[in-house]
Amino acid sequence: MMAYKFLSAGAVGPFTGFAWPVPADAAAGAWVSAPEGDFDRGVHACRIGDLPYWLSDELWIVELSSPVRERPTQVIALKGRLVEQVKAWDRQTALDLGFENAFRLRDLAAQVFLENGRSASAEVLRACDRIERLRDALKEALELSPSGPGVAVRMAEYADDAARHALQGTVSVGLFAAVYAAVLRQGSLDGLAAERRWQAAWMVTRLGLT
Amino acid sequence: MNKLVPDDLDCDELVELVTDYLEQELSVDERTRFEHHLGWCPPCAVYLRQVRDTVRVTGKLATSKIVPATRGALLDAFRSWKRSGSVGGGSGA
Repeated sequence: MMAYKFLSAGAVGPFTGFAWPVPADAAAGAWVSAPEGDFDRGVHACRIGDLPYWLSDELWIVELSSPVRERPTQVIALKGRLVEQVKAWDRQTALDLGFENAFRLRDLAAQVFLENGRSASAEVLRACDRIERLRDALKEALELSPSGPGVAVRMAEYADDAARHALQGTVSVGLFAAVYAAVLRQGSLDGLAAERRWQAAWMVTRLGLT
Repeated sequence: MNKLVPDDLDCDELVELVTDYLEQELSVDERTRFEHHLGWCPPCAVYLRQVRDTVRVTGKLATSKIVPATRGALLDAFRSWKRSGSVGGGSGA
């Protein structure tokens, strides 16, 4: 099975510190095996829908041996090898995802303000089209609606978190803020799944994944 | 406090699990929850790195590097401290 794997810069496992053998001369990297055939300590990788949970510096296509165990946010195999780096995933692409995520949360906050009759706050947010100004716009929107409502305030705070982390480059934190906002908005964990689907779809489109 | 996403670890829970995580004692599902938390909580990622560094650095210490006189003095201090049941040995240090 072919899957994806996020690694730290230099093809290093972000949690294990393991230095993965990289492809060379158009050949895939060497196979890496789980210690003592222990599936739980095997090679962890992503289906497309799993990608937003595991963002890191580098994205690789990885070949997994059979059988593959399917888990809620990853797949695991006893052996795997790196096939090719997805070069389109780089720092700028990650930042672009973070910025778009922040504006998506901005839109959600504006919608909730509007639904609660706070059109001035909604307009301030919708007028902002630059990530560098977004946090100021969110602050202004909150000042225009000092009495809430609470759900709009929470949405604006999540949007502010997303903008701040996007600007800092800690994009995965901003994606998580969007998940929380979606769960709050929908009142169920369906929001989590829907938001993660949007994040994965963004990556599929931008990176040309299949 | 209710969590919006019940499966998510909070920071206190991560701290409680960090030793088991480093010693690979967590199940794959527990480890996944642990690592998800690291993905959205930079301070906990820093904390884990600090614990790892501490383990690595202290692992290089060897008892033979403690000179006998110092070792004896330390053991005496610990014994008298346990006997007295008090904190601080009165050395004024």
